Amino acid sequence: MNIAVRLGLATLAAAALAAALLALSGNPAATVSAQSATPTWRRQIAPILYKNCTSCHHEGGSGPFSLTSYPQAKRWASVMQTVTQSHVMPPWLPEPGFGAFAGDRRLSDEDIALIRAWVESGTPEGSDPALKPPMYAADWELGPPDIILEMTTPLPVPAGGADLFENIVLPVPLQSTHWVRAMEIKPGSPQVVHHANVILDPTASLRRAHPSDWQHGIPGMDILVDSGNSFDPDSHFLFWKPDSTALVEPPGMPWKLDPGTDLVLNLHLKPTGKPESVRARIGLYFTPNPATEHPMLLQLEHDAALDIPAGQSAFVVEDTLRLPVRVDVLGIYPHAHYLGKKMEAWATLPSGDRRWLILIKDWDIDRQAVYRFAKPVPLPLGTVVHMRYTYDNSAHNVRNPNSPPIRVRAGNRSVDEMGHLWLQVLPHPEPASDAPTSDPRLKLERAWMENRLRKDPGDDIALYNLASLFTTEGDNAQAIQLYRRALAKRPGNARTITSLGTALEASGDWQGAQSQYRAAILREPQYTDAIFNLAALDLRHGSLPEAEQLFRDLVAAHPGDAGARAGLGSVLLASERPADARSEFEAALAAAPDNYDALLGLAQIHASSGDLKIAEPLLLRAIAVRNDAEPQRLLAMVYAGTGKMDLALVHLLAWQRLQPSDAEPHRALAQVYSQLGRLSDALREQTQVVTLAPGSTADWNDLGVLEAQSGDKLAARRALEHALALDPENKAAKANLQRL
Amino acid sequence: MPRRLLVLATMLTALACHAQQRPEFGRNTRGQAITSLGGPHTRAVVLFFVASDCPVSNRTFPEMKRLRQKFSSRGVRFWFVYPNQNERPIQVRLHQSAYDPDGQALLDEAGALVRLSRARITPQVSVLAPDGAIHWKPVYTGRIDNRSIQFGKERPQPTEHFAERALSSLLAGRAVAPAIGTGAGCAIVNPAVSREP
Repeated sequence: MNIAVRLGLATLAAAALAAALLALSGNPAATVSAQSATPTWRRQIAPILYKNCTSCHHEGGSGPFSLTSYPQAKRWASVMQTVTQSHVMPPWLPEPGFGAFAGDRRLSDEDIALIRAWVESGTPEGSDPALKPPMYAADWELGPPDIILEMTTPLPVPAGGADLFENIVLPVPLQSTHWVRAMEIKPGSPQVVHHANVILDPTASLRRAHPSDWQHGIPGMDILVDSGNSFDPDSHFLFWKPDSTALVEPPGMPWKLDPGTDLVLNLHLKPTGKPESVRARIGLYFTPNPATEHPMLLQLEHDAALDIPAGQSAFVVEDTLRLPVRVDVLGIYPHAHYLGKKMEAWATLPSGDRRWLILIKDWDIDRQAVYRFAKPVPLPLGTVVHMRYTYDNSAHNVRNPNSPPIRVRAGNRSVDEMGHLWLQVLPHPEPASDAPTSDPRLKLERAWMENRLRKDPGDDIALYNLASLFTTEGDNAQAIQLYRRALAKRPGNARTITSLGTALEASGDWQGAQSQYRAAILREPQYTDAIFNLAALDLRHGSLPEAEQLFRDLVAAHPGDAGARAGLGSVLLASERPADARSEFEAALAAAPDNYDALLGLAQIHASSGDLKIAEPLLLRAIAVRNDAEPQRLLAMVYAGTGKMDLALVHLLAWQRLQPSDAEPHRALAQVYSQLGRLSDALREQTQVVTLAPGSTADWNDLGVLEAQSGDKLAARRALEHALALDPENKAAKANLQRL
Repeated sequence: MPRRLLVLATMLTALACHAQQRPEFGRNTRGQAITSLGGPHTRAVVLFFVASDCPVSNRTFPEMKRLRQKFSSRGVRFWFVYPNQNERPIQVRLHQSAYDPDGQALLDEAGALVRLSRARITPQVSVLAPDGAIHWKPVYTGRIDNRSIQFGKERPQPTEHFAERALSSLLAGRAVAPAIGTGAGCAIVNPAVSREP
């Protein structure tokens, strides 16, 4: 009897609540009686679940149970009521009103109330026509990928214990640069993999650092990889969580995948209670069109300040970054470990206005995600981005991994802490101050690294990256100073020693560079960059036997390294062994068809042996890779040799544009114009020659001849007399003057 | 004298009835009735209430196995009780072999152990003490540990081990602390139990 009364009240209460909600929402159904407004599975609940829940909760999905049918939903009704009311499900951490995100998964108050009313009224199925549940493809969402990367060995996950954080290296078997328009991660065991991040390791640094165990997973929540020497900052969030589908990049924003790059799959694994194994696959979809828009990932953090006393329940870490360029913020990824509690990020515009980027009141690493803004958030130059994270290291924080709490600092383990705010921004050059070709990402990188150094003057990563920027900008003195500071912080780092050598070489101190490269090799005898740079330096400075040996060592260690093969070819060519050089260049091109040095070297060999028709396409390919003076010069010579003077002229002009202060292209142009009978053009070019290189008797003599041919005897005489002033015994000038 | 005879006769009848009505606690995965939870030397019985479709009880298996390994040699008998009426023997057999092949499973379709222990969700533990020769009485029914706080929220590892504490107390002859707090879990769905007042 008591039970019957209770149920009756609950039913009435639920019906009244549902009716009130319908009235609030303006739904015409609100006019129906309270009894008929009781939510049913078929009318209200199935649509809510199909829209918000079943993308994970379907057979074979990442959710631990399916919710696609009425019996299943009835089974889990009370759980659904609990987790929707607490906002645990669907997983969505950002507070509404503090940033508008695409794919906002927060369930509306109306939907939550409907679920509650449905459960409290006894989970009625209803008599409306049954809705068809959505279908979920078991295979690749976008069809067969262009390439599939798969873990070679399954990663075992124990039945119990704390969560695991493992990094799996997936080498990419590509021979040339590809642009990735979409990626899909198939975790293999979706109920075990809680979330995943894909990190690009362009130098395979993680694999090198873990030569024996990289195939079995390298533990660590967060990893650092060596991005190499060239400025090519991370640009995309490659993030997976259980409800993720294929990650399709916006038009014009594919991400670059260079040969030699490893993908590192950073996995958060949750034991399920029984032994499991994970064998993840990554499907990549390429586009032939390179990126036209270049976003960049920026980070705010203050890990140096993360030193949280045991018991401290509101420890605050902050960071700010002033934007040196105008940007659009495309996405945001807040990250902390288990002590993170409240996360705030906002932008203060130059006008003083504040624009919220994100607010999370109850951080939960298990439900972390990358959030993409519904519309790009424009931030003008001079905007200051703020990050403010609050940590709870007390025993009241149920997620605290340490019991009792202990002092916690920044680190990579789950018992350490971290406080990072990543932003994906699309920077825009400032038209008034930037050259059209200048890359605004360089300014962002500088601001970011200078910000890091302000927080920690000994930050060797910031010192290194800032030095690299100075090298890019040609300020080698500054670069050398910063590299030396980085080395003072972390002595013996082979990469930094090598980069210091590069800066010294660029500043003209090739002996200093040589000693740095040698020091780097002493530190790390297999360090490819140092060996390569030393070999190239020896080649440039005529130490051919030494260069040959170094390149041979590299080839022996890395037979597929096209750069080493091409370098060896160049040494052999310089050593006048063209047959040997040719086989090395051909091997380099077999491994990397776009290898510039191999294309040029092979073209030089064919041009020297008169095979101009073979040399021509090689040079065109070399120019497509790198529009440089030497292939332009050589191609002009090839065309001139085959009588294609018009084409020769085109490439001579291209050569001249690439070397505007060099007399040599002008000299060649003067000769070709002269042969073509274009006397005034020839005269103009020859005049340029003597302007740029006034010390050559032959050039003045040639100018005199051209002036004479064009009828200006006075100018001709002046030029010939100038030649004789330089070399009174010059026979050609004497004869020409006499003839004049 | 006749009165004495009558009493003796009544006692004999009662004993005969009692011998015929051995309790049935449930069935094993081969469908055989389980009429005894422990032998004469069993000092305690532990019932772990689990469900083959419950992710929370699944994640608790390592802790349940740890307790079995720790206490089996001390006269404690362990049962994995599947209380939901929709569980099928084949389903339970597969589930048990995936999570704990050495564990003893019991299907409680009739709800006898749910009634006895007053378990309401999976996972939950009931520690039983002997109550005569063939009967058992619960001394603790509640959370196994405090790892799970609510659905979707849990500690990295438990800081309180309630089941272990209850067992240790019982075996040491100390008073068993009553259950405190409620953990997250999946509701036990068994109409045989919920039909009763």
